[in-house]
Amino acid sequence: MGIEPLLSIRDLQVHYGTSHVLHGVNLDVDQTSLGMLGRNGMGKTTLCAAIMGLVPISGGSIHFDGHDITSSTPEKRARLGIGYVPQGRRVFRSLTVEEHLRMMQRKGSEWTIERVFDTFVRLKERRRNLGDQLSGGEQQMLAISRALMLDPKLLVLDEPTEGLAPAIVSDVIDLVVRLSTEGMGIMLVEQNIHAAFAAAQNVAIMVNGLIVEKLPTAVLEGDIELQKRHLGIEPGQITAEEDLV
Amino acid sequence: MKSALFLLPFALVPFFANDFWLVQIFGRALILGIIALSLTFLAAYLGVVSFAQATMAGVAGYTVAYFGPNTVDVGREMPFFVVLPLAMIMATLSGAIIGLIARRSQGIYAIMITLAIGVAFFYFTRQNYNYFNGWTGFSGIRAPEIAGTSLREPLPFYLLIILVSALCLLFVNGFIKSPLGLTIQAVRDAPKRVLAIGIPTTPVIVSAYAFAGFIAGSGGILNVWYQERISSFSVGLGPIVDILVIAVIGGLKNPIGAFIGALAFVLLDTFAVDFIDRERFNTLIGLVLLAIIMGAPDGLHGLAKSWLSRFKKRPSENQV
Amino acid sequence: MTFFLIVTLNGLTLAALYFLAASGFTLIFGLMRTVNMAHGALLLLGGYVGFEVAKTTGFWPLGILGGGLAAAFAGALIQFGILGRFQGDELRQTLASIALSIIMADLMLWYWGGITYQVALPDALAGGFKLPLLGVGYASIRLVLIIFAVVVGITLWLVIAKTRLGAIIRAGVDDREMLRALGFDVAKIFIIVFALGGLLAGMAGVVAASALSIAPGTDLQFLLSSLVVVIVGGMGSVGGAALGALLIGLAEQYGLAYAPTYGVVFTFAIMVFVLAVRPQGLLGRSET
Repeated sequence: MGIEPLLSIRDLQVHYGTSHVLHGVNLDVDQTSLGMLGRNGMGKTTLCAAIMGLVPISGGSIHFDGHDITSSTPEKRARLGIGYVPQGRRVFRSLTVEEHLRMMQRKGSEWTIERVFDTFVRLKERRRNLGDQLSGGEQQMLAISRALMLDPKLLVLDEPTEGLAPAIVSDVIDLVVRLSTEGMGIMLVEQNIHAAFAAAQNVAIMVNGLIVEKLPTAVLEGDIELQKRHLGIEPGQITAEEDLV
Repeated sequence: MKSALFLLPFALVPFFANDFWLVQIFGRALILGIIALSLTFLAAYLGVVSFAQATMAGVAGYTVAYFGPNTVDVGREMPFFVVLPLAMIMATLSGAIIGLIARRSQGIYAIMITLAIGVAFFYFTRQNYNYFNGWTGFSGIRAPEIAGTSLREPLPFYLLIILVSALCLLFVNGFIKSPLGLTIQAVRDAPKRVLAIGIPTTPVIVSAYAFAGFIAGSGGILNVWYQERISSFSVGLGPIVDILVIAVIGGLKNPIGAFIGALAFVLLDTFAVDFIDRERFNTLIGLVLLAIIMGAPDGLHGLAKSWLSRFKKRPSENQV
Repeated sequence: MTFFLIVTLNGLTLAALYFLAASGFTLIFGLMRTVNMAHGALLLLGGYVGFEVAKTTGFWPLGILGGGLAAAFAGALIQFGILGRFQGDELRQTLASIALSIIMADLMLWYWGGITYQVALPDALAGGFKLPLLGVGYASIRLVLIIFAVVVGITLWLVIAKTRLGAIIRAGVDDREMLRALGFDVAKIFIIVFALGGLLAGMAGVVAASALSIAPGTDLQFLLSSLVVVIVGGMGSVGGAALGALLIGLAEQYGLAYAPTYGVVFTFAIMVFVLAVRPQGLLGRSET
């Protein structure tokens, strides 16, 4: 064994009431980008929430950057360096763009409000607008920005391209690629297989609360059979979905 | 049926207890238990903690006072067989009206709204002299004589209380299994789905409150006979909170909890003076309440149940 | 006409007091969904402590500050020691705060007794003044009370709308879980907000003890007025508390003046009407 992975999940179990959602997930994420694929209801979002400490876990362990965070509070995990961009973006509806960012500002942080505004010019234009007055794409930019202002070592993005226009989707992908090359660990949960292929170096596939495959993106891209088996996607459908977004 | 059996020990009390224990302890506990039962019913099956149960009981009590024999110059006397049904109707109606006002509120909102209603009624009785005789209220209220038996005598009165308690428990248990009772529970669990299958929720919620008013009214009539007077203070914040304390201490999940809580409350109320300054009863009851809320959210009933199940389990564990 | 104006002015005074009492209550509710039934007890505690401080130091503003701080401390302690333990279980929190209010009221009765307290006013405020145009006298303290409420209201609005703490509080109202996932210690923020709510309640208590008087029962009176005010105005909204306080304060005084027997019915009718038309309150957000 060489260096310890940034995030290391062992035998993670999560129950919602009587239903068993995660059945012993094992997963390592390092300073590269990992795409997380799987059909709806397979437990991807639950996995993100469990990494953040937002759902109670019933077994297993999570280590991050040398710390055992299995029973840490969400705020502790965030401060240790996990940035969370949740599904549905969840920007604060009664805060302006600027308030979102000013709230996250800390001394000595690499990501400042200025840098965010340089990166996302659109946000600068809309800095006086409230969270619920933004378009989906703008909300996504904001959700990513506020997570970046934590200077995260790992960025967990849960379906960031959901419901976005194609041009914005490619912006998001470009940003993720850039962050990854700067050395930030990325875990990108996606329904949009095309987006995941474009953004991630490796992909993992989740089926029924288990990681069944973890392989380089290029390998999965070339293995139509595997895609069909786990993701239920005919090659033709990929283009169909592409047209949709 | 089973839950009414719980009252069996209460039925044995007359064989060994003197009049003090019979009426002041067990009788009073059962009366408070009936009123608290109406709260427990709403909490357990509609999922609403109502602060207006002392109010519903008070409506029945005031009706009995106004139309019954009393020593103030307000009201008109009518025979008891007219007054009692009237009191029950008024209490049921008051429950329905309160339900109508609070129908869209759940959880903490329902607490706030029913509390506001209860206190509004308190202020109203305090200011109205035509029907409620203001501050002074009514005194000299006497339980009637039925078929030659005076209900003012300890034993007949106590037997009546037992009977009413048992009937109320049976009513509650029967009601929750009726189609309407099941719909009430469905509204508690998934109001939107009930609406979606074409059942309007308002009549369901209102009838749950009305039924609670009926139960509270039964307790209210007994209570006014027991107290022999009623005034705004009988429907003030004190009694409102007492009923809540009883229901919570006993446990909000099971109708029997109301009676367990009432007995605990009456025992504390009566005997706390022996080990704590009488003046500090509220601190004591507050601490007991806090301890129950923090340590045993299902109340004494929940505690007893978990102890019993542990007791039952032990032999099987020994066998292993 | 003069009578009507005097009644209106009285209504405004009462509204100011109701707003001071309800603002802390609604602030706590807005962020934490906690119905703090011990709010009235905090108010009364503030009033008593304010009385003691003002009597000892002979300086009225210090009494306001002392009363406010005492209640702020007690509020923080309640949230830290008891209510914070079951955050998210609102019903249990509400019940626990009822237990606390019973205990606090009883302990205060023990220490301060059943008598009525009134905070002595500084000479400048003790008298009255002639109202311009009307030519009738009016107590200065009542005017000061109205001004105080307006200042508190504006300050509170500024804190919530313009400061970083205010932004964090609003973010917590919107999405408490997300706020935690961004690294904010919500438990600590809750304690701060509870202290802030206690501060407002405590100051309201001293003001009430100065403009009127306080005694056992004052706690419940203000708890209930706060309840009605936030039910009418919209739970969790400071602006709603102001509007609700205005409506209820005026309704109560007009009721008292023109229909003494049924004064409370006005208040009640307003509440029922609002519930029927807008269950979330006039300026409240609907629950989603």
